[in-house]
Amino acid sequence: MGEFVGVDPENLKELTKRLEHLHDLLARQGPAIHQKMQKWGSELSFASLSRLIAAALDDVRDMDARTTRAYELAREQGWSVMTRAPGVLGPVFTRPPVVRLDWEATGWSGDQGRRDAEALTAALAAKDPEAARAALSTLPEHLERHLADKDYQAAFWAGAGPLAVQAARTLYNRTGPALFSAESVGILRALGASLAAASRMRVGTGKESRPLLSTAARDAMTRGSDPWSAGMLAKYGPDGRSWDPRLLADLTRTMLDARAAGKTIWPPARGEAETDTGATRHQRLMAEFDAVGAVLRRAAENGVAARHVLGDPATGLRYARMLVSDSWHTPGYDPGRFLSSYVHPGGALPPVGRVDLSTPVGAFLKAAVSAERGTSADAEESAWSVVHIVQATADFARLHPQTVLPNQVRQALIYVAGRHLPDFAQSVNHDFASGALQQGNKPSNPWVAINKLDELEGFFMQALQKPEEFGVFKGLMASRVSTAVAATIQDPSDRNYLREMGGLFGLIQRVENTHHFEKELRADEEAARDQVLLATASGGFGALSFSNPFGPGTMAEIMTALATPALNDTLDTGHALKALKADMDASRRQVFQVEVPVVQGLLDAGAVHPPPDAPWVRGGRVIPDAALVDWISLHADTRYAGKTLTDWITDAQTAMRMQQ
Amino acid sequence: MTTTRLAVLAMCALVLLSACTERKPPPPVNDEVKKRDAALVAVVQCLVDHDRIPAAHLEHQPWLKGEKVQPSAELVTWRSDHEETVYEGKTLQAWEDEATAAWPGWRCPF
Repeated sequence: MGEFVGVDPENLKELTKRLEHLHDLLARQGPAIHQKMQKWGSELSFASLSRLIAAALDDVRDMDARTTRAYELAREQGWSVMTRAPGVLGPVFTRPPVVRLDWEATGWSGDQGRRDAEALTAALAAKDPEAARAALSTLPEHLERHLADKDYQAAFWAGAGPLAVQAARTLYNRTGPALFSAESVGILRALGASLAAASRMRVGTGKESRPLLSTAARDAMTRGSDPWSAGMLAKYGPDGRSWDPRLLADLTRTMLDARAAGKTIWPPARGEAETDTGATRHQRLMAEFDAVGAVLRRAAENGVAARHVLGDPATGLRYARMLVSDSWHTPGYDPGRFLSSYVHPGGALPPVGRVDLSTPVGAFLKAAVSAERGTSADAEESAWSVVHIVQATADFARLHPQTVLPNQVRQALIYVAGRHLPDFAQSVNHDFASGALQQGNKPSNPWVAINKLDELEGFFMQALQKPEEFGVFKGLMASRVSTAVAATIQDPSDRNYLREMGGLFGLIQRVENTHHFEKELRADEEAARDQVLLATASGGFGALSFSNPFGPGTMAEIMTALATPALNDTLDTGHALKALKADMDASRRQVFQVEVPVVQGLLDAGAVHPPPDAPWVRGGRVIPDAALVDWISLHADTRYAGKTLTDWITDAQTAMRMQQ
Repeated sequence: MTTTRLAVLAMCALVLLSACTERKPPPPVNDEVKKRDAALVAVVQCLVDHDRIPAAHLEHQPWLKGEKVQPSAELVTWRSDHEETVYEGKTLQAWEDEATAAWPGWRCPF
C-alpha cells in the first residue's frame, strides 16, 4: 500500500493537461534546441534530452491514470458532474470534492490498464450493444495513448484478453444497413491495433527476455469460442506486418480448424431473410465480414505468419489441404423458399447467390512460398510450404478429377510453380519421396522443395487448365533458357539446368495432352507463349549477373534468377509488341526462342567474349539481328565452357521440345 | 413447338459440351519413372560398393546409411548436383540412362 494523499480532481486534471502540453512542446522543439545549442558551442550535454522527453511522456500517462482514478473516487462519493442546485433552474456543473487516493499505486499506467480491462469486461458482460458502446467511448483513446506502454498493455490484455477478442459479437448492430456503427468500428480498430502492438512486445532483458503476452494468454485469445469475433479484430486491426507472426499463425490455424469443424465463422444472422433480395444481401454481408478471409489476408501481408502455418513439417499439409479447395465461397441459399408453390412444389434446390471468397486464399498461398531464397529458417518454412501445397493440390486432383479449383487459387499455384521452376525441374524424373532440404544436402546451400513426380503431375493437372495458361507457362520456361545456360556454367556443382528444365517441359506437355485441346485453341496457346517470350525479350533476356561467381550466394542467385516471376501485367501491352509478333515468321521465332537466349546465357556466364565493336551486343544485351546470325554461323563449332555453340543450341532445343 | 425443340437442342448441346470438357483422371506414374528410380539406386549402390565415388562427394550425405543407398528426396538433390560428374568415364546421367534402358536386366560391371 502506498501513500494516501488528498487531491482536488479538477486541479489534478488541469495539471495533467499542462504537463501534456509541456511534453508535446519539448518533443517537438527538442531537436531544434539541441541543434542550436550545438551551433552556439554550448558545452552543456543534451545527450539525455531524448530520455527525459520519454520519461515526461510516462509522467503524463501516470498523471492521467491518477486523474481518472480521482474522478472515479469522487463519483463513488456521490458526486455527479451535473446536479440540481437550490434556486437554480435546471442542472448546473459542480466541482468534484477533494478525494484521498493512493498516489503510488494509482500512478502506474498498469493500474489504468487494469481498470480499462474491468470496464470492458463489465460493458461486454451486459450484452447490450448501446450500453457497451457508451461505456467504452473513452477506450479507443486510452488504447491509442498507451499503444507503446508495456505496463498498460500487460495489465489490459491480462485482464481483458479473451473477452476483448470477442468484443465484435456484443458490438454489432441488430438492425440497420451497417453491421457496425462508427463507434463500434472505432473500438474494434483500437482493440486490433492494441493487440497487434502487444503481440510484438517483449519484457525483460537478455536471457530473461520473453513475450509480453504469454503462450497461455495467446492461446486463450486465439482459441476462443467465437472465431468470427476474433477475425473482426484482424479485419479492423492494422496491416499484417504490424502483428507478431506467431499470433497471426495461431489465429489462422484456429480459424481454419473451426471452419473445417463446421463451427460458426459467419457474422450473426439478423433473423430469417423474408425475400430473395434479403437473402442475397445476407450473402454479401457474409462476404464483407468474412472472418477467415480477414485473418488469411493479415497473415499473407505478414508473410512469415503464412509460412509458419504451411511450412510446419508436422501440420502444414493439413492446412494446405484446407486451403487448396473449391469451398471458398459463402454458403449460398435455397431459392425454393422464395418461389411460389406453383413453380416449386417442394424439396431443396441447389444453393444460389454464392459469393467467391478465394482472393485472400490465393494471397496466402503466394505469401507462404515467398521467403527470400537462402539458408534461413524462413526459407526452410517456405520450401516446406511448396512441398505441402503441391501435395495438397495433387490430393485434390485425385479426389475431384472433374472439379476445377477457383481461379485465384489456380493463379497462386501457377505463381508457386513459376517461383520454384528449378526445384520442380530437379524433382521431375524421380518418384522416391517429398520434402524440403538444402540443395545437394549441403548446409551452405539454399533450401529447396523436392516433390514426387506423381504429385507434380497432379499439381499441374489442376494448376494449368486453359490453352493460354499452358502457353504462358511454356513461354516462361523458354524465357529462362539464357539463365539455365548461364547457371549450368556458373553453378559450382555438376548440375545441368537445361536438361532438368527439359524434363519439366516434358511433364507439362504430357499434362497438356490429357486435355485434347482443339487445333484453334492451340493457336491461342502459341500466341500466349510468344507474347511471354517477346515481353521478356523486350525487357532483356534473363536477369543473371554474377557479382562473385563462386561465392556462397551464387546458388541462391541462380535459383532466384531462374524463378523471377514473369507472369505479370507487362504481358499484352503496347502496339509495338503486337506488331512485332504479327510480323514474325517461323524462322525468326526460332532465333528468338533458342539462339538469342543461348548466346545471352553464354555472355552472362562470361563464356563468350565478343569484340568491343560487335554490333549484335549492346550494353550486355544480345540484339537479334543479321549480324548475330552471321556470328552464330561463323562460330558454330567453337567451344564455349566445354561444349560447341551448336551443342548448346541443340541442348536448348531438346529441352524446350523445339526441334524442327 | 419451335421453342420446345430449341430448348431440347440447347440441352443436347450442353450435354455434348460437358462431355467434351470432361477429363480423365491423371494417369498413374508410368513404368519409365519406376524403372528410372530403381536404376538410379542400383547405379549409385554399384559405384559406392566399388569405391568409384570420391569420399568428398559422399560426405554427410543422409541418403547413405552405412553402406546402403536409401531411395529418398535427399538422393534426388544429390543426383542433381552430380548429373554431369564423370565416374569411371561416364557421367552419372549416362550411367542412369543406360541402366534405365537395360532395366531390369542391368548388372553392375565391376
